[in-house]
Amino acid sequence: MATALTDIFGSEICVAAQPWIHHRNYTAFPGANGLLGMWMGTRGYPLIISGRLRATGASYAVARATLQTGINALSYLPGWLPGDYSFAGTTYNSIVFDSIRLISDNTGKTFHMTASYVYVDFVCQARSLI
Amino acid sequence: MYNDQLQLDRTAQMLIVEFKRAHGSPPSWQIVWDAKVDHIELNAGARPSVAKLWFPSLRWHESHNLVWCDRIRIRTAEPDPAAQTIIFSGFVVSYLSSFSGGTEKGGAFEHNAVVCKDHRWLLSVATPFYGMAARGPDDYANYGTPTQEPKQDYSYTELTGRRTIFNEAGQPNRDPDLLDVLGDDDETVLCATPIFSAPYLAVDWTARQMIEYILSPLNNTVYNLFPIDDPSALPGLDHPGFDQSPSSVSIDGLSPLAAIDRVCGNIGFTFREDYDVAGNPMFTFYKPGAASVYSRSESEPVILHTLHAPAVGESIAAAVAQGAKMLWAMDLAEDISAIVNSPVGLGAPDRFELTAELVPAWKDADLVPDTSESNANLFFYDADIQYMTDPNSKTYYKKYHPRGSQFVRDAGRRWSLNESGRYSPTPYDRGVPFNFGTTIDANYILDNETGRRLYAPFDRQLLEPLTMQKDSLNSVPIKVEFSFDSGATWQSIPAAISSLSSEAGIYIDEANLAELADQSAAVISGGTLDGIPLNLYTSLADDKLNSRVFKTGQWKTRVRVTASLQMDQRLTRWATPTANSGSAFEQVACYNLADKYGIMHRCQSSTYYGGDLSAWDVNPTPAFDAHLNAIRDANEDMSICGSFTLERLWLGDGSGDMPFKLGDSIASITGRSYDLSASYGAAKIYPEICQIVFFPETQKTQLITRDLRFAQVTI
Repeated sequence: MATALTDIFGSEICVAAQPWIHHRNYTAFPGANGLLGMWMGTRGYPLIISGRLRATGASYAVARATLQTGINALSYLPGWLPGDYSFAGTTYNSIVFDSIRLISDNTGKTFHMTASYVYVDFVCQARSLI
Repeated sequence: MYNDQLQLDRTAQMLIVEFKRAHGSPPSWQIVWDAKVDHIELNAGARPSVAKLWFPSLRWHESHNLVWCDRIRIRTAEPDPAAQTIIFSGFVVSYLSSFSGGTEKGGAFEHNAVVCKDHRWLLSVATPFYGMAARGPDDYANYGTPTQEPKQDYSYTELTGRRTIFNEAGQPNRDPDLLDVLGDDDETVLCATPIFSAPYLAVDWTARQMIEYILSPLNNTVYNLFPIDDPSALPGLDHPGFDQSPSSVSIDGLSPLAAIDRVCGNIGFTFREDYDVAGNPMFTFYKPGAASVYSRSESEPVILHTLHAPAVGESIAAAVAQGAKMLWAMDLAEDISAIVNSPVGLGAPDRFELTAELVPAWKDADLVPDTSESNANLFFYDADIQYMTDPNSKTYYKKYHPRGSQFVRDAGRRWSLNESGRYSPTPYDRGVPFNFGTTIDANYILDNETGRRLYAPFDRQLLEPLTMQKDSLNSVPIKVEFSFDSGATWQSIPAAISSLSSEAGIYIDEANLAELADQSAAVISGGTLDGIPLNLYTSLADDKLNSRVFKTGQWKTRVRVTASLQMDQRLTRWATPTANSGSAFEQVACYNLADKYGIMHRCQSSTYYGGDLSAWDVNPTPAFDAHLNAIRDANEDMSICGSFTLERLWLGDGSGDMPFKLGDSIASITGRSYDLSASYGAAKIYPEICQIVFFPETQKTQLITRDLRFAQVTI
């Protein structure tokens, strides 16, 4: 049973699955022209999840702390075993999460405050194993 | 995929790992899905092949569900079993667990692996050989009668107290009647196995029959895991080289693997582990460096290969389209430093049988006969001495009997060849040192150009003659003869006599020299001792009382001996370099073959010469020359050793069999046009593949070759 990515990251996400990665080795011969290729198989495909995390609170500090708690929970994602995830009607099988990174703006600011919430943008690099 | 080797772009070949429990009721082969093959190393001879598997998804402490002794098989992944190639089959023998926490820069890992060895390992730890399988009295019908024959009940007797030695001491000890061996159902005859027999009526073991005995179901204690129903059907065993019958091949206490290796080593062969179409293991026997054709068949278990290293500027497309075996990397050493093109063989020192007179090895002053009372005290027989109350009162007893109180040890008893000249000067004064030129045939003892004698005055030791007894191969004993008439006649007198160890001579141990009586019971004629019974002592006394001088030949008493002696020259032969030598220098090595070759000759001076007893009379010079020439032929050209790495896994591509096998040779490298041959006499030899390593991760095949010098030179 696939887990919805929105359950993990919230509803403000964009998900893009890149094409499969192919691994090919090349063998050269001294003084000779040409290469021999050896197709070693596919290596899964990258799954890029980007989006925004928000939290509200009585004050900026409270909201930011709440948001940080959520970010900390997401920190454990790279340690999860491979699993199936879904988004917008598509299921992605045998996914592992490689990294999660918070994105700062051109001023270096990562946590942004609005009148009613604090938000942070993120990108998560995942990949399928199959 | 089947034409993959013809394409510029290939597909990596997957290897399948399967396992089966070694004990219990193992099911069929099951795939080990999470195992990855690290490498497979195929070895020749008695060295088992090794495969390492690892489990990328397991931490170092986690269980991989394989246990020690599980059977492992690694094969290619074709759907059709007939197209699959079995690369390795063996047993889990080792777990390897390792890990590292790494540093902040990385390097952390956890590694969980197993090591497997093939069926040769199993044979190396199987029950070693001891005893013999032979037919006892109860295994014959009509035992002991002219109609004796082996019983038809497949019976034999294990003789645990006898050593497992084929053709022991050069004697045949194989039963001419083979023993049928039954299968587990006690009905099906699996094969006919040669077994041992007493030398009487026995025949020789050939090397082939030795292998059949070792691998027979009769002796195969690991038959359930390594079944060989009929060893005589093993590939390569029908080669004529296995018709040889090496002498005294002992496998007592050896494992079956070591036993096979010993038998093969004796005849210059080796073996590898192959697999039949069903994946069952078997041995294939072959002669190292013997590959001469490019197509494998039952009669040609080893073949030649050419590898391709593209020429400078060449496009690889044409070579690949032709299916060339492309060399990705190579290390090659062509070395002349170990060449031996001028071997020298050292045989045993020359040994000659001769008859020669000895000289008295005592001073004349030591022998003083007592002629008192009209010679009544000259000597006494044992019968007289036993009634004496005080025998030491008699000079004869006191000085010349071993129990005398003033026993003069050497007088009358010690006789020497005087080969070193020790007894020539005073006080002995026995004449010139012995001249071997008078007793050994001139062509052996004299230099054929200068006529000089080819020995020096060293002490020697009398050895048993070369003459053999009539009914056996044992030599006759050293013969000592006495003369009491200045050598006109000679006689053997029964007496206790021993051979000296420090020089060529004898010592008369007989207690009473007077008991060495003349066989014709003669008496002394004339002189002081006229009429006295003639015996060794009285004859010596007569010579002394008449002031005869030994060195001028005046003595009537003589002693001569027929024995063999080792002289100062040995059979030494050289083989000279031929035009095939790879070195401009004469590179010499010395081989001590004294246990195989030496001149032994019964000289004309021997009293046995011309008689009806045969002798060990050998001059093995032609055989010695042939041996050295064979050593030279095998070693006169450069040594070529190398490691060749091919750019893909060559596993058969659907043919069910690997193109490269142990024992194959690399003839040349096309593209760069490089010849890898070396001379072997008039023939050519090539570096032989002694190890093949497969690296599935990088999809490379590595061939390790060795020099023919690893093979034994057999004559």
